[in-house]
Amino acid sequence: MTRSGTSSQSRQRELATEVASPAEIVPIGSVAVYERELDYLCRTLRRLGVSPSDIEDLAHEVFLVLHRRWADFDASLPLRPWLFGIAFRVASAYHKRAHREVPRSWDAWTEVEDLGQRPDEAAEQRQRRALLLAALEHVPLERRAVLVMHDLDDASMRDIASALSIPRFTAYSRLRKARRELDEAVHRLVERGL
Amino acid sequence: MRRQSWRGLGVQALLESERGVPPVPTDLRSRAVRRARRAVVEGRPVSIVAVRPRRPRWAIAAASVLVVGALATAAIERRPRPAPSETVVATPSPPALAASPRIAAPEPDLTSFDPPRHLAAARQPHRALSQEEEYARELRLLQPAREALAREDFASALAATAAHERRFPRGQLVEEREALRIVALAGARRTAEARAAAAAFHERFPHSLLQKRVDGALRGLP
Repeated sequence: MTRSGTSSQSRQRELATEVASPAEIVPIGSVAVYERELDYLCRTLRRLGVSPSDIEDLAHEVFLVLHRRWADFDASLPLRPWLFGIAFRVASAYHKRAHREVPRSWDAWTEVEDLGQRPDEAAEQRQRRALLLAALEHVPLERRAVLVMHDLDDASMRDIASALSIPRFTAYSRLRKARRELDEAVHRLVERGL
Repeated sequence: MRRQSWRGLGVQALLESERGVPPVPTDLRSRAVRRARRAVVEGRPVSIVAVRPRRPRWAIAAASVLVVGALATAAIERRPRPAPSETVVATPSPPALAASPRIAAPEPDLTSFDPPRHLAAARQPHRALSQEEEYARELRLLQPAREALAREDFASALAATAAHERRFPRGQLVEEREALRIVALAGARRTAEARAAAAAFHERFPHSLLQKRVDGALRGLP
């Protein structure tokens, strides 16, 4: 389950490069950042259990918070964990807000996202992602956030703890539990035939 | 059996398949960006500081977790932005927009940083909105500078910042413009000018969030 440290670090470097890229460019506004990171934000919201039909609205909520807090952002830190922290809070509020139907099927968006792959690859990829996202739904949100940040975004524990405002030890503990819960959920879903 | 093979591959393989971020559909993207720009324009040229509500506990905690958080906190206290935002505090702030429904058709074309023309025309009688237009225009002028820097076309970046300076010598994005200019000067290896401009920048914006970017640009210069 644990990736090699080297791979993780190199991914992190790649991600950092990508996020800050080009490093010398000065951000001039929240809209520009939002535009650049929209794909990431939408995917993050989806991973945090936001229904595809609500993603557009929730992304806008994230933007409004991002816009208000832009001056809070410490430019020396990686951007994505900070954005994730906002998305996490918006998604948490969304889940608490109202009874909602948890979608079990994919909509047009997920069809589009696989464009560019061979049809058979796209189908398999889609199925895998569907299984993973369905399993993630079984991991409580606060633990899912740590797992998504660490195992999908390759964020460092320091950044995760900071973004979610939790002690680092708590972050490690949540990651451990979340991995176990995800593993169990995947196996349950596979047993049931998804 | 595909399911069996998934099982064989394990959760790690599933995670691998979810790595990376697929692009959102273009229509969603254009709607989302348009909506964001509109929120900024209609929510007024929000000085982020002016409308910033009390920092929630999580933000304070985050700042305390990281020593560098102090930097950001210091920056919040400053942002010596020109006054327009001061008059804006009581106006609709972004949170108020959160509840607004999706934009009703017909939508103005906000794909550029220009304010929507027909809206701008309709608003002309309301003088208070001129600041919004200015903000949008400032952004529009500086955007090419960023794009030019991205492709390392420093001359064009400098031309864009000069155009902004001519049009908005005391604009709301002066700090950003100066930072862009310094990065461009450094890129063009105009060392003396870059250093002088950076010194002026530090003096004028002592708590700027962009200081690290500015310093980073100077690093490595002869």
